[in-house]
Amino acid sequence: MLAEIWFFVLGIFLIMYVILDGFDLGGATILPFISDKESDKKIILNAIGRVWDGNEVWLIAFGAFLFGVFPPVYAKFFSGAYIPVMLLAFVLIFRAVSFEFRSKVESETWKKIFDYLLAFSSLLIIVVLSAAGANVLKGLPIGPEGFRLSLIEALNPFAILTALTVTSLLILHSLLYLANKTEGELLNKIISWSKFFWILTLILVVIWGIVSAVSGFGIYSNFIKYPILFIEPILTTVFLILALVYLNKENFKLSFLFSSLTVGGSILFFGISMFPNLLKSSLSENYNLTVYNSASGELTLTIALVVALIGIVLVSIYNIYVYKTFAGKIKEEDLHY
Amino acid sequence: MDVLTLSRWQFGITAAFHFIFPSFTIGLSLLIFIYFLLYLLKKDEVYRKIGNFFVKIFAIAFAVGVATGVVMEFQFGTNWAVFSEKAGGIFGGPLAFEAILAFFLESTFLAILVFGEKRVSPLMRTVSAFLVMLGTLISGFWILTALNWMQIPTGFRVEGDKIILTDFWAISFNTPNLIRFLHTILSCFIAGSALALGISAYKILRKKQEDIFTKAFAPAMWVFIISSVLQILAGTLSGEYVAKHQPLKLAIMEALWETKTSAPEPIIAFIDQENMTNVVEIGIPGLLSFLAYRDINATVKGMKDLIEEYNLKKEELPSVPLVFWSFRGMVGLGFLFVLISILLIVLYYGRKLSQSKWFLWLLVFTPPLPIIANWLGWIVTEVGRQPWVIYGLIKTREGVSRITTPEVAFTLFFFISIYAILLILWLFLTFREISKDVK
Repeated sequence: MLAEIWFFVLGIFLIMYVILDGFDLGGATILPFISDKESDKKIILNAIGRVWDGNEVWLIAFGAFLFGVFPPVYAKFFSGAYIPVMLLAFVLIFRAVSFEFRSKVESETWKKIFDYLLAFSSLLIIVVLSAAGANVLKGLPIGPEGFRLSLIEALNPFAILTALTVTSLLILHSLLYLANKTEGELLNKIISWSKFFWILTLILVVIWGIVSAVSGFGIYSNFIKYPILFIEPILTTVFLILALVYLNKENFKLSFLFSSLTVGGSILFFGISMFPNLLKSSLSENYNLTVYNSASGELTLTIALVVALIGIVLVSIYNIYVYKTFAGKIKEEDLHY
Repeated sequence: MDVLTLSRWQFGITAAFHFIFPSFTIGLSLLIFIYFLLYLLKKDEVYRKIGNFFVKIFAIAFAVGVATGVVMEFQFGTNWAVFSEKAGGIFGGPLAFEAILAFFLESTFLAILVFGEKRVSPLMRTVSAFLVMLGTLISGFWILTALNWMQIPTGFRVEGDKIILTDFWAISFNTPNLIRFLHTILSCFIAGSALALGISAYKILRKKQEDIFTKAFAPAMWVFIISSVLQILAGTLSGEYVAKHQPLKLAIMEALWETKTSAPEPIIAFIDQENMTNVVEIGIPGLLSFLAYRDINATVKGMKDLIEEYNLKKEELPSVPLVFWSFRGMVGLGFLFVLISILLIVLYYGRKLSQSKWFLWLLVFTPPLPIIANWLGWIVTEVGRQPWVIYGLIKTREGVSRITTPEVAFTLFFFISIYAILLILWLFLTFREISKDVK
């Protein structure tokens, strides 16, 4: 029971992470390309720069709770996919310092270098994480001693397709966030980019849906068992459509809300597909790491749950406060970077 | 080199590099809070400006600290998977509590400090500074809880392959953990205040905004003095708990081979680890017994008896000279900070500070010293615990992942290169912020 609740709580962490960090990862990815003007870049950097750090903490919290609550999953995944996981660590370093260093350097060349470093590391974070998600969804070659996965194996066609789809969705998501933060010429550009990325996202989502259905990875087995669950991907697609509807009405708040729901819905789909597995073995079901065979002792699960729930309430309060403080369009006086 | 050795180097280098930044930021966060509080209480604009000046220096160090801290969390899983899988039910908990109770607090309110000046009231900025400081302390508490448990494992039972938590209070709010927390936090307060003192002394020497930096000097001075004095007490208490719970580590720290009653405290020793003896040893009679057990006649167990008791081979002992001399280096620096504190009081109240150029220059070069002291203390703690990763329970070599040597060699090379670049960039940007005027 507790272990099942923990699957759900970790799901919340992951959903919060992808919705929140999703828009700053996407925003940083397009930074060097959307405008040449330093003033536009500054607006984008300030819109994401003040929240990215807190957003990334959701990933750290996800990883740390995974460690405490399901230690074998954390240990087997991190050591099994040693090089891909370390690649993620490297790009997280680059991104964290690029934000801070970009605001402190003065020469144009250095600013450009950090813009590209920021964009490249943000893109790589999206790619590595979504490829990881795709490999988990598809199943890993887990045996009695765990598994080994090289970088080349990790970047299989299904993982690449997933990475492309997620990248496009998160760029769209970030553009809709930035639409709330910008005005004038930059806003117009963001709107037209949004429309392009909306179409691209839809195409990729459709391809992904078909490929995942015919792949034979067993992604839909829970859905086939309980067909009512098909409502979830259908609703997620409706949210994606509503994001466009409100974009066309220039209601950016609702448009961003629906892109957030689309992103959250995608992670929920992932969760439904996986349950009760945390890692699936492609060799034999016996080697699956499930919420039942990987959970820590009951006392750990109980205390961690109490702390996590208190934490989520506190973090919500901070988030409401910080987003209220920085609500609205970015003004000249707000510029720090 | 094998996976074990490379993984230890990788973890050690990451931890050493990472430790620079929280040492400074934990201390600076206290000072930033004090400056903003003084602004609120005295209604003196200068304190607000000083606070903003240090927020910039804080933010750069904080970013590098966050980036390297994340890598530490990764490495438990990547390189120490067997350890993580066995002990995760206890060890992972505090790491998770750190993330949810501290990291969010720090990152949210640091954003208010950096970006919010025009959007929030001065009171709210002071509150934000307080919350950032609180976040750094909570963060320190939980990470030290995890580390302390590896030193003094309690509150668990072993079931097959797994270590199961049985008593949460025993692992978190126990006396040795609270004392280790105090000991580490004080060392960070010393580092942060030394940095603020060093910067202020430099500005005063260069006659740049002397009036402003004279005002910045006093709070930093008091934090430095109080922390340095309290540290002598906290350090001594820490030592007593090592004696009580980790007798082998105590024997290694003191290069004590034979069990002795009324054991002397060696000041210097030429250690011959191969033959398990000290060639030359100069010590103070009875002092080790007194420091360890508050009784000059107490018996202190030596390494020879202890390795038999723990069923270890002598080859499994860590480098005794490394631990022995690191310990002496740390203690020596601790006393140096007390000496600097005394000079600070004498010169500050004798109103001779601005004329004492030599002393101000000494302060300019002080900031690296607490970092070195922290490194040495950390070597004593972690190397002194060897051959175990969890004292008496799991050996370090049993905890390592099933990965290959080229993989670890490759990432180790990358980490070293990245840390070198980060160090240069951090120093460059920090020095540039320091060279700017307070606005």
